[in-house]
Amino acid sequence: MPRIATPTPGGSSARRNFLLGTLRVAAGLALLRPTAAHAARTPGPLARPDLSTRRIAGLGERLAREDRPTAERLAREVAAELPLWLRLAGTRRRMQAARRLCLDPRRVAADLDAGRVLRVDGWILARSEVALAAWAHQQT
Amino acid sequence: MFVDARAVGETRSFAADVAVVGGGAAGLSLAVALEAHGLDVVLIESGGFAPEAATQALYAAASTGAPYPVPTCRLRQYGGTLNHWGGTTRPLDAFEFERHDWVPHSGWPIGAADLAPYYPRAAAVLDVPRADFAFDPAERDSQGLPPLLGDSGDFAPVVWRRTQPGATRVGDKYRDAIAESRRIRCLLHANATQLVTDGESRTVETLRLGVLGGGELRVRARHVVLAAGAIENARLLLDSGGLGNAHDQVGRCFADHGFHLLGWVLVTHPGSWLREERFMRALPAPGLRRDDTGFAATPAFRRRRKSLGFSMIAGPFDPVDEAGPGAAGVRELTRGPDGQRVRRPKTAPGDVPQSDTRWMGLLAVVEQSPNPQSRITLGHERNALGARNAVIHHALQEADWRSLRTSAEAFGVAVAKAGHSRVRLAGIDGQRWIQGGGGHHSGTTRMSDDPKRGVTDRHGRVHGVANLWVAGSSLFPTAGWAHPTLSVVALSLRQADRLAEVQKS
Repeated sequence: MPRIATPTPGGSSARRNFLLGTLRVAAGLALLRPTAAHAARTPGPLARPDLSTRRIAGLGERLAREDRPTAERLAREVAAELPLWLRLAGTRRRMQAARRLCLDPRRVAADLDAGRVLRVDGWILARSEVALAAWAHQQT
Repeated sequence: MFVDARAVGETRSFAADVAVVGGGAAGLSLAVALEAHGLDVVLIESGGFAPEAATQALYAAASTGAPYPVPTCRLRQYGGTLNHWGGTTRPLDAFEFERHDWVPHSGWPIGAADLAPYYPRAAAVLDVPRADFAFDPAERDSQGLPPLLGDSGDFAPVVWRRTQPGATRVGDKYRDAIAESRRIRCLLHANATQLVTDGESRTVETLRLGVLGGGELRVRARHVVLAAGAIENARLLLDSGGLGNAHDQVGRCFADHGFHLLGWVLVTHPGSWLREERFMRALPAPGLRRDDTGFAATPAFRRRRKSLGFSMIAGPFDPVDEAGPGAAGVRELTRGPDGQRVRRPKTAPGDVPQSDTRWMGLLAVVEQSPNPQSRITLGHERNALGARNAVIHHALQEADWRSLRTSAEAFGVAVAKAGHSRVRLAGIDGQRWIQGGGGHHSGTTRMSDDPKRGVTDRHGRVHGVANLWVAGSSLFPTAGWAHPTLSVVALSLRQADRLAEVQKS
């Protein structure tokens, strides 16, 4: 199964460390506010801020077991959409970014409207939600 | 008055304006309405006031199609199958009377307007407290909450009324009135065994009745109405020389509603409609008679997706799924913000699910498409009265399964779009049609203006037999998704008016 490259954060130069640290703080702040606001407005089972990586990945695991090619394709799509600089930020940050990307209410609604719906373990889910689960499973 | 056929003697004949075979919802309501028109009625009932094994055994039948609960799907006693009715009902929507291009053999010869005047009267017969069945958004328990199902327009909230104060037993309700009636003679323990016609089978001259333990009665009436249920009506016609079967239509298109425990709905928002009590079906219990509210596929959805009738209600049901809702780690997805695991509330009979419910079972009631190969025929075995037993061949079509899957998934999408709940389906891929859940048999003597496409005309009169009529849900060309009893009674009341007109003319 292809896995997303996860380079170890940090480097030899202090300058790089400083830049990365700044980027992480900025990204964290940027993600925290809309995620919290979003959760307050329209929480769904996968959009809850309390959902851990492990929980979402459980669904991805199921998908991988039932339809491995689909799971891998969806995971690759998520990975391709994530900005390069976030790939460097560690599992938790990457998960936050992916959550924000895939669970954007507008994106979920667009999936549902367009019939981009998948059934995993019986759950009726938007394609983007399933993609997140598939990607999360690969990350854990 | 009541007459016990066992005490009548060897042979005796009765005469009446109308002979009605079957003392269930259709027959009783018809008899009482005919009496109001001043007609003399002989009401023929196979059983007595209580269940009797020997009488019930006369309903023995073989099942050659999909598994069917033959012994329990109908009751042969005074009051009929309504003796185990749950008391939930609603009328057929206007859309159900229309011909649907994507459903072969659909379309009633009458429209909603023809039955509309009779629904309030039928509601009175059945003790349905309210004759309006429209969903009222203003009745929402809480205002300012998320919309019920978004704005998809695919599913609309619908209301089922429940009879009050309990599930109405029409037999009990009219027992005293019939006992005192001078125009209704109800023959108990009298079993219609054959319709005897003139030489050309254009008129029923005599109705033969058998009595368990010996004896035979005869009834001569100007009109004969079969109101014995969709299986027995067809069986009796076929066992009377194929009466009304000139075009091989009798017994065909036998249908029943599918009752499916489809899965669960997980509530993720405190303002979800599912937290309203009226959207949660209470377990039946004495003294608890709350109307139910659920959802049904809209005509627009059914046209677009070429699907059949589909309705859904949430409640403390247990869908058949060995894995359960917490399978494969998905249970973890259902934790609330407080970390508490989602669980079904503990309910006992009579309990109304509590407002902190996080997930509920989903029960769907769906329509079966008319299928000429789904039919009632005669077997070779005979019952204790020498009549040939019925063979029930209940056959489903791919269209039924496709409609179920399409509708269930679309319902899940509509719920997801609304943003306050999610649906997990189970058991819709395994070809499990839960039959006989309602015993809503229909279609075996369907109405049609064309004798080649139906057994009876728009008034329920058998094509080609001037004085033979059929009452009950066997008249339904299609059954929609609504529980049928109210429509059965409404049709009987309408038929009583027609019979009175014919009698006068």
